[in-house]
Amino acid sequence: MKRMTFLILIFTLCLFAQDINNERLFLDIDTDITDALPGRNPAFLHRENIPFNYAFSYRLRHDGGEDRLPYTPALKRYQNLGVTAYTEMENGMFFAGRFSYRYEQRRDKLFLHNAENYLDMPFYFGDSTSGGFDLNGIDWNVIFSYPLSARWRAGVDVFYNVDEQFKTVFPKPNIKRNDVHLRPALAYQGESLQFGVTASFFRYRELMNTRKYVLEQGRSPVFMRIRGLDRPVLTYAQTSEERLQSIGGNGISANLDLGGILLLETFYERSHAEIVDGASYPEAQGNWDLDRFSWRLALRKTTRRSGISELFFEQHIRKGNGFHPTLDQRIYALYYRAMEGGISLPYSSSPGESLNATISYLIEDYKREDNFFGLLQYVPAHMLRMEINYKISGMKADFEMDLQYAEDICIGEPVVYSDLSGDYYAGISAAELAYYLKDRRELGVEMRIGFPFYGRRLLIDGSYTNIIPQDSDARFHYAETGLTFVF
Amino acid sequence: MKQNPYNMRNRFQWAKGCAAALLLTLFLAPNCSLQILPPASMRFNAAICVLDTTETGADRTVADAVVLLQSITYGDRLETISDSAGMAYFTDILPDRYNLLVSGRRVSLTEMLLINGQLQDTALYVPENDTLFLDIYAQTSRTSALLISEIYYSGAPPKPIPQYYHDQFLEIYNNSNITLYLDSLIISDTEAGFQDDSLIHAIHAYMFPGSGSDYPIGPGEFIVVAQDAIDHSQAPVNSVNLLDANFEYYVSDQGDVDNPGVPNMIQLHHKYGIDFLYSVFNDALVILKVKDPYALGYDEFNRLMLPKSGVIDGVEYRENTSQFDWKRLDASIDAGLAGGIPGYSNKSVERRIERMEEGRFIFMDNNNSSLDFIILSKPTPGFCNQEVPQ
Repeated sequence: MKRMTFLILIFTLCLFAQDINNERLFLDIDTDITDALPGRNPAFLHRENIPFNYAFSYRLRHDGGEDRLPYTPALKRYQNLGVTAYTEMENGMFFAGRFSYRYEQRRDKLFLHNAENYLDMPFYFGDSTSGGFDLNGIDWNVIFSYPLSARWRAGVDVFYNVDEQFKTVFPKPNIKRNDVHLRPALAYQGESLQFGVTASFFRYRELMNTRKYVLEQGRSPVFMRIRGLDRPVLTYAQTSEERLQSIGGNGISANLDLGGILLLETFYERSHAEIVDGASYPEAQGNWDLDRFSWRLALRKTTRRSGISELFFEQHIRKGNGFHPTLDQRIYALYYRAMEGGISLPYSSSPGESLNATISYLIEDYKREDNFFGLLQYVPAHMLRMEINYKISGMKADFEMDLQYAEDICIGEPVVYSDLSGDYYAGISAAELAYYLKDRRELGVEMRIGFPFYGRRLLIDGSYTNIIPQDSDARFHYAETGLTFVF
Repeated sequence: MKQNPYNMRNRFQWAKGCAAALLLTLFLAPNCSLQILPPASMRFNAAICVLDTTETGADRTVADAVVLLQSITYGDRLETISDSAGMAYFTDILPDRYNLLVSGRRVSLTEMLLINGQLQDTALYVPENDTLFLDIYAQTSRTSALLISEIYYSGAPPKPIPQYYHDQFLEIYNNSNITLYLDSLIISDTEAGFQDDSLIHAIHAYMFPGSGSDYPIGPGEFIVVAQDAIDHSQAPVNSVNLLDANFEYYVSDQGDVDNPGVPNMIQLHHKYGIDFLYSVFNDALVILKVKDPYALGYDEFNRLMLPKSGVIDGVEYRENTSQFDWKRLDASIDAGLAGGIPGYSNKSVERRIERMEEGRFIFMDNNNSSLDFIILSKPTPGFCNQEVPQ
């Protein structure tokens, strides 16, 4: 019996409540200055959670392998140079800012011609624009936190990105993105209760141009099509050399911490994308909606000797609908839901040294419908996940290591309603399904070390995750390393 | 500040209560079962009524008409025959932009008229699997005794010689039972976008030599007009041998090849090019007879204007046969499109055989190349290898 393991590859991008990050989901950009704040709420920025004054960092991310979805690049190499600063300003106001330059390379990228992640929504194939892409970009992320009273704070988180993606060979598509994300927030911090609410408004725009390539029929080399499971639904864009995709959305998230005993985080977001092909003959190319909802509940018990024990549950739901540009009909629908419950137990043998073991069980299922052709795919999956975290600090140095292991559990049968054939189905949808139905094991290791260096502090971290499908020699890996010089 | 243990215990109890309620919600929410059934598709049915809207047709419905539904996105071709009420039914078709082509006949005691109609690039969809009712208005056109029976325009494969097109030819067939004469008959191409114009805007126009009865074509005979009447079958071209062509185009001032054993067509107008090159992607060719080819003069772009009323037969072809925009010929000459052949593929288009009559082929002539023509994997200049339909 075969099952899928979406969570390992695609949905690890976004779906955990503690990892709600639009930029990672929609733009494949890492922003991290709010990661340490409760609920990623910028209003919680204050003196207690400022990690340093400023730091310079370099990060290298390297993903690649053979075991991948048809539209995943064979290789992703992302490099990032950043500077981050935290400071306390006058009147109890706090500021954090991050500026980074990115250089990204994607190789053997098929079908998707744009810079974005695969969202499993109706999208546009760029047959002749597939291949290797390079991207240069800069992004800013600033946070302001301001005290309204002794217990209330207001905050705002602003993210802005501009980048340009290009392919050096014909037809030299050029993709420019311009992205803004604004998150105003409120936070309350009492003696044994804290909670926060964060709103989210974002707009990500992507403009793609390519060289006009005139054949007898005046076609352009950009053959964009709305996907269907069986065949492309539309091929309107055959004569277009310019395309604008605009994703806008808003959301709300909340977090509650009741005396360190009960922690709740929840998040809801709705986004809407519209695509228009421009140039001489503007033509709507369809649109889609995406709803994401998640929550995480943790019950904690803190002991002075061992540390924090945690019993947690979390649920993630993702619902998408794609619409025909002219018929005002839904042509594609997806529904993903995941539920995970687990327990985390600490052990500490001496001060400055701790061990934390987590075991969790994940149930997920995934359904997608092609309402144009009347097709359906449904794949359930179960997974056991384990993680051991070890920390030691002393002699002015810190060391931390994570070991992760995950494996499928054989429960649930996939359901596929289709009567499909043809090259398109074989090349995309059948390959996708085969990927989803494959059993996989995940092994990961992550290490961080921090130590004094010329009067400052140097942090080195690295992680490596290997995805091992059963009955196959193909592999996929995620590797990341970083160097941070802290002032 | 010192914590009150009583308050702490209460708070912990309250937290546990909240957690229990949330956990109950948690376990109930995901257990709502998903609908795992195949969803309805957007396929629908179409009922098409064919009406003869000509002056003498009096909006009567046309029975036994061939109705062709051609999907632009998917290239699907659906064909059916209209019933006695003039209705043609299609089931389970996908929403798309379609070309609808209709060819029928109106038969009376004294005449048999072809009826052609078309709707181009028409978005068809009705929600919830309902039936779409559509009227298609047909016009009459005339069938011809002389036909263009085959056009080889695609050229030879580009390897090892890139873009070889000197092997092109056009074949004319006498579909009638009497001898006809080619003398002064004109072959021309026509510019795109003049579908609704009453004139042919010819970039090239060539005329058969002869003074009236010099070049007969008997019933069931083929005549081949070559671009260059030489042997193109030798390596590296490996195409067709046109040494036996009946006529050839010759452009004397462009260094064109001339076979002195084959009569040359008379050049009436030659706007550009080293020869009368048929486009390897899309073009339209007509044969016509007019009293004075220069009577209407030239248009502003130096194209010779010829009256459409003089057209005997015409065929329009394209690489993409579902793309009907900027068509060159109207429904009275060619309601459809032949082709669907990539450039330089060494393939040709040939008219379908309708039946045999007195030992000769009778080719199909609905004035609709989408219905009338097939693709040949190898050109057949001066002959026909098709199987005769039973």
